[in-house]
Amino acid sequence: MPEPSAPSPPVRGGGAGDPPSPECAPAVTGMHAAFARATTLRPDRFVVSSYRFAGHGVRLRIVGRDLAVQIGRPFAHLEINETVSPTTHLTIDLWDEEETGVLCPVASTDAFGSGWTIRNGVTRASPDGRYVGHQLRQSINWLDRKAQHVVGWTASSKQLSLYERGKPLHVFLSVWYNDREVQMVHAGLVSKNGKGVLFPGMGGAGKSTSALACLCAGFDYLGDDYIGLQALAEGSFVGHSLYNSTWLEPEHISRFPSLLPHAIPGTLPQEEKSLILLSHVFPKRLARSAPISVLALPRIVDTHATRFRPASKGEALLALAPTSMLALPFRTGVRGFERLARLVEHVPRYWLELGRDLSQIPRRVDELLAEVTG
Amino acid sequence: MLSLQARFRPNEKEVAAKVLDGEAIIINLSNGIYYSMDKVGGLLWAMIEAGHSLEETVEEIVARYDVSSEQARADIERLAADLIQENLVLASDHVPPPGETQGPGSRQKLAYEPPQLNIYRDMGDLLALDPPMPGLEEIPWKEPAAGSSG
Repeated sequence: MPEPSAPSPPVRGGGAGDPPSPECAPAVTGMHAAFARATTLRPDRFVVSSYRFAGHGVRLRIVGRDLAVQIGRPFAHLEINETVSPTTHLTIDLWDEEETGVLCPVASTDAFGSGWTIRNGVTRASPDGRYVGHQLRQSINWLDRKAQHVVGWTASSKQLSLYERGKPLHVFLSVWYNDREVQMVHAGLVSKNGKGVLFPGMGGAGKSTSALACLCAGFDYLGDDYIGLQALAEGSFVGHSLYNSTWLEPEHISRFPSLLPHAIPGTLPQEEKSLILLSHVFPKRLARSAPISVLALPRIVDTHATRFRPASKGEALLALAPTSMLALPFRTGVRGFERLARLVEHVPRYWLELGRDLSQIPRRVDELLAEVTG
Repeated sequence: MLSLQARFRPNEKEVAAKVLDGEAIIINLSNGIYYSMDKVGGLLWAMIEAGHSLEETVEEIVARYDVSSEQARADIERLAADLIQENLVLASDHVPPPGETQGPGSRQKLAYEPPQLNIYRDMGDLLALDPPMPGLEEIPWKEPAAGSSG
């Protein structure tokens, strides 16, 4: 289906040439200079690729061939032909120290505004909110929200965690998407014939099971845990795919044998789940966006059969809002909550009670779509 | 003891809430605890949002539901105390302009069930393990005013 046209980006004066806020000047300017040096020193390792993230043009420029592969794979389904690339709304510049020999000019982000611990790293923001920095043991990245530019250093692509390899730049993208009125929500999303089925729910509710069962049965897949939610002017909603990655525990993978050969196990103690890049398994079943036609609230039940039944608006909001608002890198506040409330008011909602026979899930979802779309 | 003349308002600084088909869904964004109340509880929240006093809420409940004033009064006092305890509402001086009641008029009264504040602490427990995440409203970033630098 044709993607909805991207809303006009927020009107911002100036551009990448503007000087950063005084307190950030050494850090951000130095990072850009280091990236430029890396591209000069190792042009043979310089990889450029273009994407559409929720309809917005994104340019990825990476110095470091293996880093480019690791960062690009979860976005592979969103890549576009560079010769027809649209206006760039986000540029992401990254370099790998091990491949380029260029050190990070910033030792830490400590001297840089308010800080929070997110996902084993420290996130900081400048007092005016323009700059957001995220520091992990092996990487430091900055987002300039005005220039729509990310610049970052990685010690070595070999040190990327499984999470970074599956959901790269998650912290920044949650801010950048929100700046463009696309809200990250905790839900799965599949589609058939251009009609989307959103699976909201807490961890363990059955979002991944539902989404992957549908994918394996021929549905188009957009995600099984995070989706970009956009409200359109006429009151309908669109879901955007963010990544093509999924994480599954060993006993969960056994339910989907076709995924098993593609499982990438973790190496760190906290990496209990294996990463699977679905672009390797079902490259032709990965969709970029889909209008949301129905909400299917998964719930695991102790029966053989899977069935669906109507859910109230309150039940749908309870399934969607708490984790979407509280468990993601940044809280979206009252505005995000009101958007979710409009979603459950506008879109039909049902409980999807998941029985032990997973093969029934796609059939029930097919029936559900037929029920709501006529 | 609460006065039935008391008025309250939602604690908008920390709380996001919505009443959908009579069911109130409330999230405390500062601690991750979330709540639901249906029927009479949802009506109480809607009345609080509209600025009505507890006494006016009791009158509305008695008009809509098959319940005595005494029972409704006791339940509303109890529920309001729960909302205050959970920091979901704050005292308010605002008096809304006179408006139509939403009572059923000549319609048959609805069966009454004592209201309940359903409390969900699972996200709150999760947040307690990790430092609180920032809200995007904390880093709103706006264009600087014309004539300023940066």
